[in-house]
Amino acid sequence: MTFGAFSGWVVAGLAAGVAAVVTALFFMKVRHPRVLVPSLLLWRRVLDEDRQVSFWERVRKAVSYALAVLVPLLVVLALGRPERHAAGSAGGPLTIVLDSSLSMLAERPDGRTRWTAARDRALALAGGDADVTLLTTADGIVGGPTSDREALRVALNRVGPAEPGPFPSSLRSPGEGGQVLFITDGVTPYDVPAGVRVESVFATASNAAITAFDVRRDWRTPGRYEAYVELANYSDEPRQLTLTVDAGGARIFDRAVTINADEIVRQALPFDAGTGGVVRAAIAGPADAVKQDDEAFAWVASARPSVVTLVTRRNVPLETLLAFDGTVTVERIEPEAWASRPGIVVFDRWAPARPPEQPALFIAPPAMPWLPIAAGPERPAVWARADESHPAVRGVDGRTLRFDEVLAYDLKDWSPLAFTARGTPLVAVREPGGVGHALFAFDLTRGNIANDPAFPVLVGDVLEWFARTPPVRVEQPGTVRLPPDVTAVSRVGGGAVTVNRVGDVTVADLRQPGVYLAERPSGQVAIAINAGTRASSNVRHSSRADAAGSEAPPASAGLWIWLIAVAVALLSVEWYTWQRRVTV
Amino acid sequence: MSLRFDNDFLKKLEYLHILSKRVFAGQFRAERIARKRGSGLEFADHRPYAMGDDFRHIDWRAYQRLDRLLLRMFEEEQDMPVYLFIDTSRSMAEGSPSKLDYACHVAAALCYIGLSHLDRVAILTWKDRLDAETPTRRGKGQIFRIFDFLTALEPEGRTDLAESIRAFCARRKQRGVAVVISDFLDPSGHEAGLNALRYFQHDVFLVHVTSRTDAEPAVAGDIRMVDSESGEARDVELTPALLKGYRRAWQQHIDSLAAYCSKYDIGYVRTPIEEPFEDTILQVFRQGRFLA
Repeated sequence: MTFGAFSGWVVAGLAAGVAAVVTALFFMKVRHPRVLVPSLLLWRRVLDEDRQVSFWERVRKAVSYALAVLVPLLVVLALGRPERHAAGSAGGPLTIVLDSSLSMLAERPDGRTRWTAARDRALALAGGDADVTLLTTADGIVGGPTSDREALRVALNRVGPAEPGPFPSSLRSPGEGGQVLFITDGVTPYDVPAGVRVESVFATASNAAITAFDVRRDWRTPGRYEAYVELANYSDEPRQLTLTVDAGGARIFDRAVTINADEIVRQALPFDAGTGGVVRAAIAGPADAVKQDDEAFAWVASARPSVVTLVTRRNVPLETLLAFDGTVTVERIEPEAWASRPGIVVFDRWAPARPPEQPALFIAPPAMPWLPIAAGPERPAVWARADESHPAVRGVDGRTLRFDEVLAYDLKDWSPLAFTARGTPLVAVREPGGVGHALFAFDLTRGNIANDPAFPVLVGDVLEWFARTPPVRVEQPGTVRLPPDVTAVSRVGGGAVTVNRVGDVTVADLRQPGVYLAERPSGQVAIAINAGTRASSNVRHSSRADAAGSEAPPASAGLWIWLIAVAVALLSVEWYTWQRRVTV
Repeated sequence: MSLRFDNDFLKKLEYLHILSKRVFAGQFRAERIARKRGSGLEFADHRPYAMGDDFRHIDWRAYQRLDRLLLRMFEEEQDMPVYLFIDTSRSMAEGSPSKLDYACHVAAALCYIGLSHLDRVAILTWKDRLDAETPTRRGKGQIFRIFDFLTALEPEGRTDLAESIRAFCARRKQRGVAVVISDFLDPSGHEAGLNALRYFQHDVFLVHVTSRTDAEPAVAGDIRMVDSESGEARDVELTPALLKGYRRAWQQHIDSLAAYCSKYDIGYVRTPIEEPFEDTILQVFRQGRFLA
């Protein structure tokens, strides 16, 4: 038997105190109420006669005392929220895993969020004699093993829903170390091993969310940007939302949007970035289960003109493209005239003997000691795949790109981002000393890239990644892994955030949606924390909703109700026997 | 205490006769027959002649037949006094209306009946002693003085019927109808007082005023029971067994009173105060052979 509201010692103390008080009150001589009767003549006859004392008369007082003590004791036990099977009931320690995915932020009909309900349930199960270990899918072990409920409570208060990770791999083989309990809403699918008991805290809820938000530069118009917003209505009925978008403190969009049930609406909103800053999108509407996904953030760095030195003998497509960008100043020089200078350098089919100490783009350079060629070129080649999580190739649609020749460099110090169908790297990047270097393994003048829409996007991404715009990362709330040279992180419009280093890993706990700026020696990194995604915001359905009834509340969860019922029944019996004097 | 009797009620009472099983001698001729041998017209009995008797009443025919001197006796119609004894002890404050109120209503009605038939009526109040009394009155016009007297009564003191009746018999020698209206919760018992009335040959009639709580006490739990008359207190845990014992004692109490009355041919009526007063007068008293 464990208790959900108090520890066993507290309940025992309360019970002892109550029993003592009741005993004192029971045996305390109370002044009987005065009742005036016409005459004691007949009463005296009855009181003075020797009556035969029945069995109930003999035990009446003992029974009454037992009931008087038992009823408040039952109430005390009920207040303690007792449970029969909890920690250690199976004879061993208990491991509780809390689903801390963002869908757990959804509010339940009882006013608690699913996370709060899961946390309360976990704390209710803890508190027995057995050790309890608490884990979350986002943070791993957060407390225990311990039988100290307060310690677990403090540990749980430090964490919350975040970008979910996988089900803890250390619990793949439960059973030998005791029970494993997984408390989830079933929205995020987890590969739960057999033998893990699952309890659901799911309760159906309607939600509207911003499931995607991004800001892109409009390459056709210098200084113009485009905000991309994706709204979703995860409910059974159409709803009207008010969408507002603010950029740099100015409202650029404010309109009511009607979305049908289970519909996803996308909006592209062009705007003038001005001096840059935080771009915030927000929706407002009724009956919204998750508040955190009602806003989303992006970041536009201040657009400052950059100097680009183009080292080439002649590259018309590239020169034309850069000439269209009004925010850069382009200077073309012959390779022989190359000398180190500030700004961004684009080496077209040529490379210096030593890599430059500034941001540089190498386009199909010849083999150099610091950039050898490992094998023969691939002819012809196509753009097959790319890691779009990197800002240098984000948004590049290379499905129609054809290359006459792709050079196969030895990229041991580089990170390949795009590949041909045969796996030859097309685009690679590196950051020696925090300075970005990018490599195109293909000639821009050979193939169709100069006429493909992906061309300006690819070049623009690389230039932005170099210097013109601090790279923006979009993450979900949770522990975010940062570049190792990050010295400080602060929230735009907020305070500093603690940066933790474990070995060569640098992380920061970014749970509040917003824009965070990470300071590096080479510049700032903007991190937009947005809670809404199509997966986590759809809190209406659960893969384990069917199990909610059978798995959520164990049989003993309502034990306190039965205790109260028994107390009321005993109280009624006592009242009846006392008022009616049935027992005497 | 309201002693207002409407005209209809008073008219009904006027036609009722007080039925007495005995005939008492009275000072004035009235509609009530008293067993007094005297100058009446109706023959009653013979008795042996004694020295000094009136020769005119000797039955010479009987002397001729029996050779003895017998005197002829005649009944004489005379009125008789009605004594109404009202218990004003503290126990009569019980109930709503109180037993005393009820007793006063009964007494007022009997008074009116007696006065209407030219009987001489006196009201005496008693508790542990004979308390107050009205002069013997005759005639319907006296009823308002009776009402005033009854209105002023308040329940107080203890109950002692024997002492009160002894005091009454010591002062009033004339026999009559003695109506005792009481709850008869007398620690000294009722027999001594009633025996005294019988000894002085009064025609005794008892009106036992009770309340529902006398039979079924509306008390429960642990209480301190206080005697309204003596102030004596007893801490009592009222249990069903105790209540059952009380009901048994109550039944014994009323049974003993009824048995006593039956044994000595005394009229007895037990009237709960919860019953309508008019019904009690018109029906219960008729059943009790008090009114005719």
